Amino acid sequence: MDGGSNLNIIYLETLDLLGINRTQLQPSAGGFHGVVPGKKALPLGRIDLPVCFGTAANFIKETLTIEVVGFRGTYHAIIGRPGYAKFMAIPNYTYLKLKMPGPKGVITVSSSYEHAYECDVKCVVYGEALESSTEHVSKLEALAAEAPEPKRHAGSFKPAEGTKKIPLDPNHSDGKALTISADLDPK
Amino acid sequence: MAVPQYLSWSSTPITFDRDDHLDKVVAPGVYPLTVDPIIVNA
Repeated sequence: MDGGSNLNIIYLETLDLLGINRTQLQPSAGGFHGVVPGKKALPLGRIDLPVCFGTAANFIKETLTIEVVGFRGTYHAIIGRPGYAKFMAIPNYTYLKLKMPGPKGVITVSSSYEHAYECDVKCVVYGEALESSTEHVSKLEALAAEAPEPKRHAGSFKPAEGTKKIPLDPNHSDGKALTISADLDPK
Repeated sequence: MAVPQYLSWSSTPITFDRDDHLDKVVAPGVYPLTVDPIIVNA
């Protein structure tokens, strides 16, 4: 569940688990941009899938339009803002819970820190594996080359004009001084 | 005056309180909100 994503995403692996043929995909409206600015990902297509939350006693079912992506992920699918809105789901990232209204009251979907931790570790391992792949490294290097050189200001700090030095303690001539504006009274 | 068209069950208040609190909140905000799906090809 990712409220920061403006798309619902499903990975091809999950689609295969569902036994859905790729010929059933509809064309996507276009690519989408991820975390790295300027980098575009092209989905293989989109598909309308029924998604259900709750139990047999109290459940809610909606059809979500989900973008199918060809690259691997560490989750089965990512439900983004369109999914949250359709289910009127409210996430709580402190308690790792999701609540939404159902026909017979509030439906609560819980997670656990253990499960979240496992997913996070898998995500990091996969990310590091991707980072070490030669192709990915060359892509990142090309991206870094395109980025403008950051301006460095270290060592360029200069005091404003019109300053004067006054002794830190007028009663002791120990050489310690303060630099203040020329307009200020030394007292 | 337009009559509001409310979504189904939008009158249900949704709140979080101490009943939702886990025994221990570890590194809040670090971990993703994950749910275990049951994948069915009906």
